[in-house]
Amino acid sequence: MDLDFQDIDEEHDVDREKASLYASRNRGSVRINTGRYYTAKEYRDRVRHVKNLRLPK
Amino acid sequence: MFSDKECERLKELANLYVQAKMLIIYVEEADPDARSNIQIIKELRDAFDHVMRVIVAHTEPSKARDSDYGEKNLHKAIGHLYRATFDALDGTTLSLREKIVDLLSPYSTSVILEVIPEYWDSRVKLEELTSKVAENRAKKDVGDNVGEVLDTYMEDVENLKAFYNRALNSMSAIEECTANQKRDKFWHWTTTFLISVLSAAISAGIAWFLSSP
Repeated sequence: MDLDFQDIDEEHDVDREKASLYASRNRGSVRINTGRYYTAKEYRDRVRHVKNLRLPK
Repeated sequence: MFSDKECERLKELANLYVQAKMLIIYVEEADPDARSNIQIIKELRDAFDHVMRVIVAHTEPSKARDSDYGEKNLHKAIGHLYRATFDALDGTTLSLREKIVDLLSPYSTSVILEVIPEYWDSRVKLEELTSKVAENRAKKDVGDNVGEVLDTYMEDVENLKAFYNRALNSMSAIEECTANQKRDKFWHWTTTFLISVLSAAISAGIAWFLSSP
């Protein structure tokens, strides 16, 4: 009971393809089943992308 | 069933959850692709796990555990919930920045400033907040002042939301101002051109008049 769940980071990231294989059998989150989420790597890329956007000056 | 300290922690956890839930719903709605952040879901899962450990400890009291087992686990659950909240705030900041850039980048700063005079202040705040993204979350342990840090961050994000709404509501004024500036520029250019042509013609006329016998 006192074991922690595995972390989700770039080394232990979500496998999008594997997740999509089970989507039809899952009865949980529609977002996750339809792939509407960021994996750890995708989120890091998103942070980098948005930080590089320039506001008018 | 629960000790006084555990009750205190549970109350703290419940209050924080109310804030966290609102933010998590907002961040999913604000995302341009309506995507969830797996990190937030993971933090909620971990918080739930620590709460369950406390419940199991109370329903199965036969197993030997430290006297502060419940309090420690609830403290950890609060830590995970704080990290979920910071992740949601980070996501909100990113989405708002993306939306504000999309909205305002086609327009010149002079037009934006004419319609939204507080643009510079909000821009500075947005740059500060963006550079802070993930900074608070990186501090894994929940410090004593985490509540204050969270409140300040939440206030900043609320101000950003207000600025985005202000910008969105000002779009017709920005369009009108851009059209006015273009018209003014056109007339300025046309007048300058006509004056130059007229001056050249007059100079040529005078020169011709003076040089004629």
